[in-house]
Amino acid sequence: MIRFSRRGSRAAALIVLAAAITGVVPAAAHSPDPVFGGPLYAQNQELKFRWRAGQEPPAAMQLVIRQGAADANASRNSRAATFVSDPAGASWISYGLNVGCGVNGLACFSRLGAPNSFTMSFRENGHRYDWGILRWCEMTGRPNGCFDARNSALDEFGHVEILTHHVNFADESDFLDAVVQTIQRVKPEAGYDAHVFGRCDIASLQRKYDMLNWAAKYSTCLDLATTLTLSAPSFVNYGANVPLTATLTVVDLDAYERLGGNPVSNRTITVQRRAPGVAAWTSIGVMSAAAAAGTYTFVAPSQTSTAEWRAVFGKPAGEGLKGDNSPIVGVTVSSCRTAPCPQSVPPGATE
Amino acid sequence: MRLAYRFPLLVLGALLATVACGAPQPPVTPVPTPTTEATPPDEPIGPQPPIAVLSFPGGQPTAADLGTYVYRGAGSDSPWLPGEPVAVPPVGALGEVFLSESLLVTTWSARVSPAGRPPGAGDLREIASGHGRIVFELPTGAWTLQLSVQFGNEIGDATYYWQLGQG
Repeated sequence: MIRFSRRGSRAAALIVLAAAITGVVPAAAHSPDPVFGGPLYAQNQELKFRWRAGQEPPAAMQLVIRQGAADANASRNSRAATFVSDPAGASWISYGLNVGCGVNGLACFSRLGAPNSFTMSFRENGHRYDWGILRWCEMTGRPNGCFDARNSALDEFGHVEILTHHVNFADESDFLDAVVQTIQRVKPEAGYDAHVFGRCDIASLQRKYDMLNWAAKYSTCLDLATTLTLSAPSFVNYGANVPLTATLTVVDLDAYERLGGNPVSNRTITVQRRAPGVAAWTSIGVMSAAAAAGTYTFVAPSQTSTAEWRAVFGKPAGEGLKGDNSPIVGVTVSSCRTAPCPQSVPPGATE
Repeated sequence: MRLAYRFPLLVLGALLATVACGAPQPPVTPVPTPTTEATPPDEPIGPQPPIAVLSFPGGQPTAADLGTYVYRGAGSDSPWLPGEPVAVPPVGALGEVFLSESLLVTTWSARVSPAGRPPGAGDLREIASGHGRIVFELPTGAWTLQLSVQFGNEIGDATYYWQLGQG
């Protein structure tokens, strides 16, 4: 392996030594995928791609690349860009020998054309590397030891959006949390054929491109604080209804990027009540969704006593939001002035 | 702690010695030689991450094989690589990795897997991690060493490989 040592010496001869600087908080394992710099595409922007002239993938590969694009569109769970095959597309995808993926690359991408275009490339099936021979599963039908090209395409589309490689735990027990991985697994290892973005891919897509709608679920790779407010009249007449209105939003933090301040609709908000001076709360009912995003209403009927009220958003299972309780709102109920009124002292009783 | 301060100077000296008068030198004039290299020249799709050189006292500084990376708007995905051969001392030596560009390193991790094959279940073992300067004790034995580096300022990340063997 003379080539190796020569390359090492050449590199050493060229190198300018520089100690790296410390002090930036790194992406932690189990965090949303890191992202890299550069312009984002517009929300829901449709990116049309064509096959690069002279380097068109074979039909089987075209099919899986289109499937990979459809997988990205269907599983982005955000307003990230979408991908569609179009012969007039500004972006291109190539396949072959000299496709720019470097000495060791299976597939590669460039988003230097963002926010208008991208490029993507796949090495040809059977390519000989120093490390072995590339086998795409879809083109060989091999029972093992091959790479799933559709998974690879989804990984590359994730890069095009803005994602870089998920930081796994040391034992890679969280590998399935992301498709955009440093090392693509080979068949039949777990996750080799993942055809939907993982929750930590989606988390970063949501932060960068926002939610598809206000009722959509936040990735469980996130853990966003929420704010719940409650409003009600401070005074009602004896026996009147008490209308309550709550709003639920994601706390507006810079770290949450596009998600900060989002209204959160279609969640379960519970109304609770207690008498003044009493510690325990009693759940009264579940609020209904109002017309405005992130707004909920409830009408407590026929109130006859002063009480304190609050709304409760419990941490939901299956999404990355924290729960919150609203501030307490006091509602004073007037004394009874019109019969029949409840008697504080039953007729005939002696005090 | 004194070693920590002296080590970069020792490595720098070793590198300079290699450049100036070290033993194995590349030819001044490139001479075409027959090769079994399967991969022809290939223009990269975009900017490439810095070269990483592993150095340790008494050893030959060795550039890594570049694996998967995302860098300045482009990237390439590779499998687990066998790595660039490096002969390490039979007792643990302190290795340091230098990058050919002065970049903020937000985090790095060094993992090993038995040499000669891709890692199977339970094969991977993290031997060191940190941020900033990349210094760690080299394991003894035959391993593929994978170094993952995250660059700051959202530049990207890169993975490097060496194949460690006894010197």
